[in-house]
Amino acid sequence: MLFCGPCRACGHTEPRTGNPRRGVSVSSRWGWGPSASVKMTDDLAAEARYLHAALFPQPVDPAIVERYRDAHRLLFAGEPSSPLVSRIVERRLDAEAIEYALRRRNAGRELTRKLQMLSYLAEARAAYQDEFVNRKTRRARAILALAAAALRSRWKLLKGELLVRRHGLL
Amino acid sequence: MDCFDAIVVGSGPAATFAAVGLHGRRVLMLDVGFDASRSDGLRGNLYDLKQAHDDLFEPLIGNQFESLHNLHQPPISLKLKSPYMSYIVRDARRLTPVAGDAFGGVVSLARGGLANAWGAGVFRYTERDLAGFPIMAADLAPCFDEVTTRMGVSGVNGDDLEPYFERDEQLQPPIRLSPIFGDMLQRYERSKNAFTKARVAIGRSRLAVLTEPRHGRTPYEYDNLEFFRPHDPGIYTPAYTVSELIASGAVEYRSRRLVTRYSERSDGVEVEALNLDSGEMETSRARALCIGAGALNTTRIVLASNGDHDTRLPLLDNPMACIPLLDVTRIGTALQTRDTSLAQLNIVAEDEDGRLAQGSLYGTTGPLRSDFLFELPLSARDNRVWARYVAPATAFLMLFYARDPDPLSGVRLRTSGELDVRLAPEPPHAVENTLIRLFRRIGFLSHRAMIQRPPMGSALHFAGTLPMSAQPSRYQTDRDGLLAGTARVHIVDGACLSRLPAKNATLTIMANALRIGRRVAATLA
Repeated sequence: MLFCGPCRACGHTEPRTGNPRRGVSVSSRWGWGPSASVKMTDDLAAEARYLHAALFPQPVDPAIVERYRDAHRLLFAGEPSSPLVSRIVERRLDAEAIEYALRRRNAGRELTRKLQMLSYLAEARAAYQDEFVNRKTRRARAILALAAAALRSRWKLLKGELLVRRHGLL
Repeated sequence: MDCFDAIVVGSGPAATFAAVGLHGRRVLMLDVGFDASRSDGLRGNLYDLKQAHDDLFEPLIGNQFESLHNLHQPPISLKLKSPYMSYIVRDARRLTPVAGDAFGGVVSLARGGLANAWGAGVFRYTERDLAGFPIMAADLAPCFDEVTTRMGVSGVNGDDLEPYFERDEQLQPPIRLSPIFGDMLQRYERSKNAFTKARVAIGRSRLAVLTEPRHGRTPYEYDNLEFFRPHDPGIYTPAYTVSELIASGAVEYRSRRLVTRYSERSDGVEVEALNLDSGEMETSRARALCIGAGALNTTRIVLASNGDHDTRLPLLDNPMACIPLLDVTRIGTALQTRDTSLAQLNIVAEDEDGRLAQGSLYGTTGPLRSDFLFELPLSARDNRVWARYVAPATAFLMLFYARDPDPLSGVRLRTSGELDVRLAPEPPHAVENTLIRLFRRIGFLSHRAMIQRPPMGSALHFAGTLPMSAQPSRYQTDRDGLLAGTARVHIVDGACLSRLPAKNATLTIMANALRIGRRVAATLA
């Protein structure tokens, strides 16, 4: 299994699938014509899968990937691709940490938007319901989970700040 | 050309009740009248549906990704962006454009208007609220009774808000309280002295929501679907009354007509409307005109009819503040699946200068979690943990403040046809500190830093552009809504309110429109 050098240094262990075009911006890769459209679709699918892994523990639901692509086609057709998101996906950086660090600075709106879009698409699926709602009273578990979440968020913030600086993402 | 007794423009709360008041006359209702086209997919409780169906993409997100609206467009109310509710603001930006810096408002061209998505809170303007109006509470009282009889209102008499709401003998029992609000009310009762000393009162909401069957409508079902399903039979919307008026032949209803202007003749009024199907302009004629297209669109019609692109008319809307309240003892409790996102309690607070603020308390079961996930203070995954365990312990106090005309706020019609809207921002009110302190005392935590202030216009309580006055001058109206300088043009909606107390004005607008409709009918006799 391959690991991205810079990410490993940050403790991020997302597997690299080996992107031969790493470092080339998505917009410049898309170009024009039908083949560019196919390429854009593939890139959006890869982006959806990568960002989904940052948000949810379970494997991505194919319907979510398809809808993520459709939403981009329908709502953001005229928008250029986000260099920030492209860089995060290409370098396999910790999207959750970076989003949090940027959100705290009122920056990185396009990354937040894409993660939020995935969140909406997941919330409509039954398989994700337990990620959003708690159907049984579990006070002790809730307190522990919230304490862990607060600590984890501190760590994610530090990591996000580091990644933002190291990779010039601001 | 066929001549009606009266033309009513619009089908929202005001236009509908003006038409009711014109009963017995030959009435033409001109309306764009978009209606809900889909909603069959939603029967049952939101959270049961989410478990029972693998996929609720169409009703919750929408085939055109309607629920993602706020990710790529200026934000609108969460209710207005859900797929089956989005008809309420359909084409409004294109057909009736409104522009303004940091303006959070929208208008509606739907049958029933924005009241298709209202919170159903009903408040009678009292004598105190009507200070500055050329009418008295006694003028409105019979109309209040008739409107509430038609709608069906639930609530209680005799609690601490009765002086504010006034007694209503026709009330149905109140809606069932969620556990968090039941606790809140009990704790308030135990600490009432502190609240009373601070001139703050809490009580049950009065809602145009049925808890018992009425007029063929079934009671409210606590299904958490207010954000997603239009035309809940338990929640009143003027669209129901419009349908009754059409069915009974009380009005001739022409939909897909966008009224653009009127012109007065010696023997009547001619109204021009764009037929949205044919693209042709149509002219209709009547002896009187009642404009109730919603304050902003009514203003647009009046200014366009006068060819006036210079005058800036006053504009009012209730400033808002949203205060989250956390009951730590409820962290980790189970989601209430049979619940409501309607206001469950109301709060009235008076500051040292005697100014009232009114608040409605809401739970968190209505909207999608993703709507607010990225507003929470942690990282994305951890915010989901927060939403899962803390949302059932969270209530939101939506505070509304009164608004009087000010020189920095107003509306003007640009030559392009856009309405240029300005609403001066509202500074924070000291009463917010008082409320945070009092709620902390009964175990609900909050902090000033957590208060959210929606952009001006977000309350969607637009009013006061053509205010009623005892001695109306140009672009003002008399006590019967008659526009100064005209003999037959009546303004029946919020545009004719003289000021805007901290109460939702919808019930008062309905009652006033009914009153004006009756007066117009009498003059036509």
